[in-house]
Amino acid sequence: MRLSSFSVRTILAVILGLMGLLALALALISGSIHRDLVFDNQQRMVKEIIHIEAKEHLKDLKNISRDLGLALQSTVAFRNAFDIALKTKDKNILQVLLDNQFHQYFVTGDVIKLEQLVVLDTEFSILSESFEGSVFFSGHEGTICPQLFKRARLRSGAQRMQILQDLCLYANQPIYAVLVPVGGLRLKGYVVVVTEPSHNLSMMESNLGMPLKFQSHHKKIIFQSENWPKQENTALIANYELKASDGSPILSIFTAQNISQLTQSLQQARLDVLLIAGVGTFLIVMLGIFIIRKTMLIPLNVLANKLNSLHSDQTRIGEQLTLSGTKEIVEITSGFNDMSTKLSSLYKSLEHMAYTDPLTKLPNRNQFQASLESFIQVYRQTKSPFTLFLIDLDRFKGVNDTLGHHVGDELLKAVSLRLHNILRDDDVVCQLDNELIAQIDDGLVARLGGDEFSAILTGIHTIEDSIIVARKLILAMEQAFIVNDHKLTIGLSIGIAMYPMHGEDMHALVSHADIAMYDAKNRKCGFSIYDSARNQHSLHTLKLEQDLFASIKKNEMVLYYQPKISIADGRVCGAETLIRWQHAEQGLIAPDNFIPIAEQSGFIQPLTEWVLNKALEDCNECLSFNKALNISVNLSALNLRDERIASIIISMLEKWSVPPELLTLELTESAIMDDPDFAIEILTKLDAMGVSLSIDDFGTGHSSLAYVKKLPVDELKIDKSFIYNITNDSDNEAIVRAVLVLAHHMNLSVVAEGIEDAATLNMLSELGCDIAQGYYFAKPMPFDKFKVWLEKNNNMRLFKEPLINS
Amino acid sequence: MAQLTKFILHVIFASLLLSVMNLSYALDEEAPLQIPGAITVSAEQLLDIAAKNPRLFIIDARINEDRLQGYIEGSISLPDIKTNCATLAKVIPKKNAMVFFYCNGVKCGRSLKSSRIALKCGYNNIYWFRGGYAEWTAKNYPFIKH
Repeated sequence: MRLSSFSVRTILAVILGLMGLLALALALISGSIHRDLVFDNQQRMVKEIIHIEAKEHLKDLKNISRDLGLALQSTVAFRNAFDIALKTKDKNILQVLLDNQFHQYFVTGDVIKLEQLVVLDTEFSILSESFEGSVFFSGHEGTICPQLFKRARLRSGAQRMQILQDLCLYANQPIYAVLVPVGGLRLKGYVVVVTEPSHNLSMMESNLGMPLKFQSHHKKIIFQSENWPKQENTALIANYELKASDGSPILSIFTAQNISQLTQSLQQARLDVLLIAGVGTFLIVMLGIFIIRKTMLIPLNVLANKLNSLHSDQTRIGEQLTLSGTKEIVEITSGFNDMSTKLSSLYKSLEHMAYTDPLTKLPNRNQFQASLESFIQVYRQTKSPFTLFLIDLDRFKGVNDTLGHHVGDELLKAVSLRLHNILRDDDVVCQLDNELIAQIDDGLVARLGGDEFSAILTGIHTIEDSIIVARKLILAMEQAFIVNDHKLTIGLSIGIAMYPMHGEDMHALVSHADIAMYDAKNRKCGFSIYDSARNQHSLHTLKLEQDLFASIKKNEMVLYYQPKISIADGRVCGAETLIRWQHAEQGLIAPDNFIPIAEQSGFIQPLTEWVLNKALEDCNECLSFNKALNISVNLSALNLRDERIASIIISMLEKWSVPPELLTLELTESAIMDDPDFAIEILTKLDAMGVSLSIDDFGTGHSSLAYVKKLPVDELKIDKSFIYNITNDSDNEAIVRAVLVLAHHMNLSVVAEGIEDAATLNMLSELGCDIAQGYYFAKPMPFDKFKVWLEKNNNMRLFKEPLINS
Repeated sequence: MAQLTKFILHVIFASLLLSVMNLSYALDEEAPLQIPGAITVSAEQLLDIAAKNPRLFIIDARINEDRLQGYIEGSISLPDIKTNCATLAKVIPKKNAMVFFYCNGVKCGRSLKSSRIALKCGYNNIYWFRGGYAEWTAKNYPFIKH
């Protein structure tokens, strides 16, 4: 039996019930014991009374017998007869006298029942005896009461004058004998008076008030009262045994006491006791239950209910209980209250931690989502619009990468403070319901993670207002932040979505604000309001961006190689690496479709590193079979803003043991022109190492040759748009010719891309182009195929003698 | 005041009288163990002496009412109040006769008184059965009663 499955109430009820039963059982048992004790006591008492009465009656019998003995010898006739019997041995006179005396007593004396009179001399020889008419002594021989005579014989001197008496058995009948000395002061002999004692003892009946029964030693009934009960078990029988002086049993005296009344009163007393015990037990049990209920069960119940309510509603943690009850209950209550208080503060701090960004102390993404959800709940009723801003910091990653995370963190703190201050401004949070201010204050500005912030602006109901706020934010960022002695300027890209116009649920609203934010980033326009028309495209971009981050790990990026042919000798002089994305779902994706996304998302950095690593690894492999192949790698404009790029390239070269001369970096004009001074610095450094630099897509940008002149460039790649129809288009021909002249003048070699036929090749050869690249020779191919191709075409002239010798 | 004084005097007189009367009938306490000039005996001694000396006198010093309860066989009734040299001389002619005195018991005082009188009268073989009739019956010795 498991106690835990029972309530305290049940256990108590069982225990108290058992106690009640025990009390009743005790009452019953004690009643029975009491009855026995009472009877026992009664018997003992009656026995004592019988003892006293019997003693008294025997004493009477003794006195009467003694008086008879004394009276017998007091007559002169007896003395004379006695003297004659002694002296002359003539016992006749004494016999006659004795018979007369016996007869007289036997007939008239109702006081005693005389059985025998004996006269003895001093030596106990019988002088005369009489038992006339006594049935008792007829036909029986033997000495009466030998014990008595033994005692008498043992005496000497004056003691022999003492009167002796004893109870004894004669022919199995009790008799009482009294020995009286004869002779006054001088002993002459004895008179023995023998009586039947039951005659006198039966007189006790009137004193005792109870019927009597005498029974001999041999169970023979000697006397029985008339009203002795027929059935002895209905009466209380007491028994007293009369004994001879030597202790031998002579006679049993029985009394019968009518105990029906006693039994009845005992029964009544027992019932009374049971009733009192029952009522008392019941009352005590009830009192016990009442007290326990009041002091334990009810408080425990309250406590249990409280715990249940806390279980279902955590906001009630910390509520205090006041319970009165036993000492233990008070201690439990106080313990509960302490625990509740501690738990409450712990819960609050946990909640705070769960919903607060530890760096900026702004609400975090969890809090933002919860707040947004509750705003949507509230505003769904009123259909009142509000605005969601998703704010991303421009160029923040650069700060983190270049100045370290501690600076980045400080900057984030400063930015969040500034955002918070601006957005708390009254003109932004206007028209708010008072009751919502508290909630909104929390949900107003949140940091979603990294350099991404959000703001829920309930006071902004129109697109115009939201634009004003966005501009205000952008303007606020124009003032540079001073962090650890660094002067930092940071831009914002703000995506704006309005409820309910741009989404009625949280997911839609947030993703639309996200799309708008990316749009703002792409267009570098600071902010953008969600436009459903652009949604589809944007979603695609977002998806790609997400996939892009996983692409390297998933080995989806593949490096293709397109050989570069020296026009002078028709041999392979290098290869351009071209990245391809083997997307799991969308198949092969051209770089034009994902490089911009990589640039916007900051993924360009790891992507460039991957390309460099792979290209140099392959280059190393070529070196292993003694093919020193120059590899061209395209760099993005963003790579040039990263001052670490130079050191990355150096470490890569060292890693793969590739001489710097075998690496050519291709850059677009626009990439250089983004920040020409910084680009020149980086490129100069790389040039010094021995790395070749090439300007890609030359002619399409608006680069000035003045800059080109300053750059440590080794090569120009004429954009394929000029090459396609050079055989037909005289303008293109002129441009190419001019570029070639210029380049050669500046000691730069020129690469022509997009050569698809022999005619074009011939023309370019004619014009004096140095290196050719295009489908005419080979399409871009993966390294494995490229190797095979290279093996096949190595040391081979790929075309006939050039038309013009250089 | 005078009456009160008279009453107090009466009371004192009465109590004095009573104490004197008590002295003559019974002692407040037990009698002395010995009487100078007499020999104190027990019941057994009395019986032993009586067995050896057929000629002796046992004087019952009790008044008649007491004697009616029973008396030692052979005793002569001479209550103490009637005892003097003359009455004694009628019962016991010789001064050297063996004389036993007894009364009810150790507190009765009559045998004490009679013994002293007898001694004064010149009897010189006085035995005093101090325990008296009470001792006699208590020891289950036979007695005479009419």
